[in-house]
Amino acid sequence: MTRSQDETTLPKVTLCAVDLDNYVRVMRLEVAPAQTDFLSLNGSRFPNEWALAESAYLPGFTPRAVCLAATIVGLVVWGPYHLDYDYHVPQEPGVWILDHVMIDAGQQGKGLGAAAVLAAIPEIFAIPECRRLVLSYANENERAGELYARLGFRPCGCDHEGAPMMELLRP
Amino acid sequence: MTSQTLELRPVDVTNYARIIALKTAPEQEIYVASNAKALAEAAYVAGQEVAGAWLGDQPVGLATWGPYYVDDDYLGSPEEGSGILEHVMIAAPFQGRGLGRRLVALASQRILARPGCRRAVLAVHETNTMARALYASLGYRQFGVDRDGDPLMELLGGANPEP
Repeated sequence: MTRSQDETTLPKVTLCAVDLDNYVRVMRLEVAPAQTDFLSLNGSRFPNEWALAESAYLPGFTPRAVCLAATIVGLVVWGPYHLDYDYHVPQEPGVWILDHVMIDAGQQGKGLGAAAVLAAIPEIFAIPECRRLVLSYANENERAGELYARLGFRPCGCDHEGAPMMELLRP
Repeated sequence: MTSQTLELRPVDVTNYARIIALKTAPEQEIYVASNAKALAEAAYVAGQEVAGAWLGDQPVGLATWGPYYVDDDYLGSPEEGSGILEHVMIAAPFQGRGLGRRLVALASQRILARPGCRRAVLAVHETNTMARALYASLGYRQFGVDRDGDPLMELLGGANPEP
């Protein structure tokens, strides 16, 4: 695995549990108007509402608030990967998906998205069964594809809705 | 569909996405949170319950309720003997046929059936006259205002609203 992203220049973020004390702040984070179609199925400026609700119903889905010092700046969610996002069929063996990566509109442009993904990767690969991490991103969101490529992800086809997918193998 | 009766059913992995996708009428969005927000909140606030509203195989709405934390102070202690109707919505295509009234009645029954519960309460926007009239028709009476100045209404146990 090659990572050309210089991790030392990224801001230092930590991933924190979402809980009663902070879930409202997480839900109120907003994406920029141009990004609403990238992150939510319904065009909402508040895609974390959907992501947290989904995490409450999908077994194994793990939401983590992205914290920059004491400020919550984003949300990442990962969980077991089910082919075609069909949660009636068993999980793909050994595969997890980074399902949601969101940085608040007012905090973008500082490398926080990259920092959040880099913080999530070791937590996800700490799941003993996890051998492969996949993600998908909106076709129009070319910057996301470039970002994940810099972080070591490689293209691995498209999902059933035609969105590009990328993968990262366990080191 | 008119012959079918509105029923409350659990929200689970097989149906949560259909519930989240339900949308209220655009002019009501100022009054009602999204179903995603209501379901997420129910996952974090202890004791909240949720139920999808269904007509046969069709999800048409959502209600959530739980312990009554005065002024939404979820980090404090809930008020004993009260339950709050937190969220109630009927999707736009299914409005105008009395389903909202039946949903509020069913959810109110479930609140009053909670152990030790003596009253169901709810907050309603001052300007939402349709909702206030609906709640009043089921026996809810204003007993105060919340910190935003919006009316708080209550339905006392034993009132047993007819769906």
